[in-house]
Amino acid sequence: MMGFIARGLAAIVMVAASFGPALADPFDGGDAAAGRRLYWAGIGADGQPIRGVTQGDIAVSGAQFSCLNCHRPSGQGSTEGGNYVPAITAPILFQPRHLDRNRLFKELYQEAQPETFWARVRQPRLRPGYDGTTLARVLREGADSSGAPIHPIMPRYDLPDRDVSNLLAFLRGLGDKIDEGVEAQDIHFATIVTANADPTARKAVIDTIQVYFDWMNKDTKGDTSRPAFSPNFRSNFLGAYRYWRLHVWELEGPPASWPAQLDRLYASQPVFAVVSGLVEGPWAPIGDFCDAQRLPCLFPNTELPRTADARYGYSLYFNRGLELEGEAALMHLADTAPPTRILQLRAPGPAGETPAAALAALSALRLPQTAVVTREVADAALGEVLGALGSGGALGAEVPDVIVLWPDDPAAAVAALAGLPAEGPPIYLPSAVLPEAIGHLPEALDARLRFVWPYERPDAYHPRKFRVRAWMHTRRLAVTHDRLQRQTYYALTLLEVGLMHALEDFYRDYLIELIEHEAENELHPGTHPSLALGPGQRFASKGAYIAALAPAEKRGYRVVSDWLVP
Amino acid sequence: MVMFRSNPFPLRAAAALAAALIAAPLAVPRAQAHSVTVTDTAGDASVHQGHGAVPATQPDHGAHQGHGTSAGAQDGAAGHTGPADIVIDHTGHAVLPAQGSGSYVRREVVYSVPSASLRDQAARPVTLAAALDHDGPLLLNFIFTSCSTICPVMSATFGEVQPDLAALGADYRMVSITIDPEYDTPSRLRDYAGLHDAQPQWIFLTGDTAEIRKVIAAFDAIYQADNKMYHLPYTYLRAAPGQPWVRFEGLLSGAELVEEYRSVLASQPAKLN
Repeated sequence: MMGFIARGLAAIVMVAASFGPALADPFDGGDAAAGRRLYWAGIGADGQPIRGVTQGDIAVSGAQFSCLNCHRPSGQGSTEGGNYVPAITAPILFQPRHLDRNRLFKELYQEAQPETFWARVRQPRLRPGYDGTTLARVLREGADSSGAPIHPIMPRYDLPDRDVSNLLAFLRGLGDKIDEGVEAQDIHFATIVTANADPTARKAVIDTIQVYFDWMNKDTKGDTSRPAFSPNFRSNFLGAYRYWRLHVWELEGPPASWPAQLDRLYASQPVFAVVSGLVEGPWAPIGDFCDAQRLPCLFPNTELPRTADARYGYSLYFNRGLELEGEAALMHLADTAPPTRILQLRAPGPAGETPAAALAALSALRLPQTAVVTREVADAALGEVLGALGSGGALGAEVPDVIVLWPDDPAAAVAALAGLPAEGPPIYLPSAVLPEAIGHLPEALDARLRFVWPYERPDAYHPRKFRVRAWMHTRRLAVTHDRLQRQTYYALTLLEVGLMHALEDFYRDYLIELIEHEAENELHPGTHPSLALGPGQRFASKGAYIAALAPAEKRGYRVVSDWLVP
Repeated sequence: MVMFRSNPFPLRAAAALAAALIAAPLAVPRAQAHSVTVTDTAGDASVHQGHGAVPATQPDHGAHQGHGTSAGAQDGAAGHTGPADIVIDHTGHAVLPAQGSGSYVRREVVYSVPSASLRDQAARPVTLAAALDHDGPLLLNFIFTSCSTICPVMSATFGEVQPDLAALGADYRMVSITIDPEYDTPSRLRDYAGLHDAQPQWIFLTGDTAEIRKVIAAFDAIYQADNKMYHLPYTYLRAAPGQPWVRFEGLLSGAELVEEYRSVLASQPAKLN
């Protein structure tokens, strides 16, 4: 009790002191960029990993974990594993603690946590705002700005003054203001579509988003129209409501020109996040833009995500797309009937190159004895090349054990397959061809054809799938592209849930962290066997099935493999 | 914003409340002392799956009151959906003290090892039984490599005590099993092992999601809402094959883990060589 009063008095003294003339902090003048490196990578000013001790006697280095691990990119802290890690953004760290139930809303009311967690969240441990000296003390000795010891899980670091200065400079800018795209009444979002995408699919995606936004805004209007009538303490959160404004960013021309278009669009209307969308072509130029702007780009419908350096990037994806499909095809071959010669016929461009390269790379690892021959064949020539195989045509007389096709246009691939004989090596195809193939090929070919299928199996049951479809039907939303629209709905759901938990903390990094945390909860609409992220993870679904045509089945296909995770 | 829409209570909160109410009759005053020892000697292995623990202050739980309410925990692991997945671990509620050095819960439990096909960090197939078939002391924990808060500490603890355990003479083995198997491929586990300076006695296991869930359930390490972000810090220690497991809930310091290891070994009858 006395300690509590003493801390309270200390807080009052500190508040009073803050009205006096500002004294220079001995730790002023640090380098925020070096502080950021310390926070993110645990690397000190001397270029070496910092060292500390956690749980009393466990030596840890910055290479094993850094500030980022627990306090997260936003500085909002985390709630993993029954541990409460407090927020350390500038407005919180450098101000005296004040008790704010809204700030703890997520922790107190929306999470299933052990009692000890809740007890810790509720501890009314007041403390003055930190300065350089008290920051140095808490980092080195684990005594907070009131002198009270903090939890032993927070490492006690052996940190030189220069590192404290750098970290102080970085922390002063961490969350010092909310991110762009948020106004007093409105919050702006974009969705990105490309002009070359299938127009009916594009319409289905945009219509789904528009209907979702409309209903969000209807609910917001209802919730905020009578603030005095406030069951469930809704009015406590009035400050968190915003009307969602949608901006459809349509990109034209070659992918190399997209970044400039995006910069122009963003300059004319900054948005808080990009949600869903439909992109025909590589996501990389868009992903680079999202990273440069530190703009969350949530679950675009794309088959060509940027898979390199994805961790902690600002694009979140359903899966690795065609790269995953190439690896899954090889994995199935290696697991079932390792071939001695694989022939890949791939279209020019990234839709052909990406999966072919992924298959060849994994083959070198898994099947070093197997020869993988890859030929570039335009969709229009596919039928002719396939027909001439083994007859001394352009590809010689040798017949491969397996043929893998990576076409650009699924319909063209189906047309090329139609004339093939029932006998011959198996043919593996990407998932995009499967819907086109159902009902359009002679049944005699069924035994030869295998499709990579990185989605849920047709006979799986997901209750939420039906709820989502009911949501669409009751809002008169035409369901023309079922899976695409449910994927779009999932992206919107996570955006909604993330913002619901963020309340007035409109920080983009925090939104991504909340989505990482929530993605695994039961929100997914049955498009994939499971969708889950983790800290820094960017691909929610990790594997694929292999499917075959099956006219007798309700949906015309069935899966013929386990869930393969390359 | 969508604070409280048609469902005024967010699903998880409502379900958690319901589960808490169900567990309420079992709630007992939280143990004051650290390092509470509970011996749970029920021999029926099938009863133990997902049920192993009962409130610490009711070691004599003859009637097995706890088991009815914890059934949902096992359902959750089996991938069912709906509120039954979201189960407050009433064990944790009853006895879990604040985490940190000097405050963890110790209990002895008999677990039955299910058959599960896994892979080690070198991508070699290995059954759970084979991984645990070690004629010596065994330490086990559940981690995932992208985990933000507790796994790095638990792994650093395993890393830290390796030389101390080796110095104590017995031929120990450490097993870390990922609860995020699709992300934690063997190659990611190899990187992670390197990060924590894992010696050859320390093996890392991944596998199909269904197999991993079996293992999690068998060790009563189920987490809420099937969301790995809600997992809790458990460390398991077994002196020798056939001996009960000692399960620690909470984060131990290196000295505490070494001391526990030493005391578990010391309680063993001298081994005939």
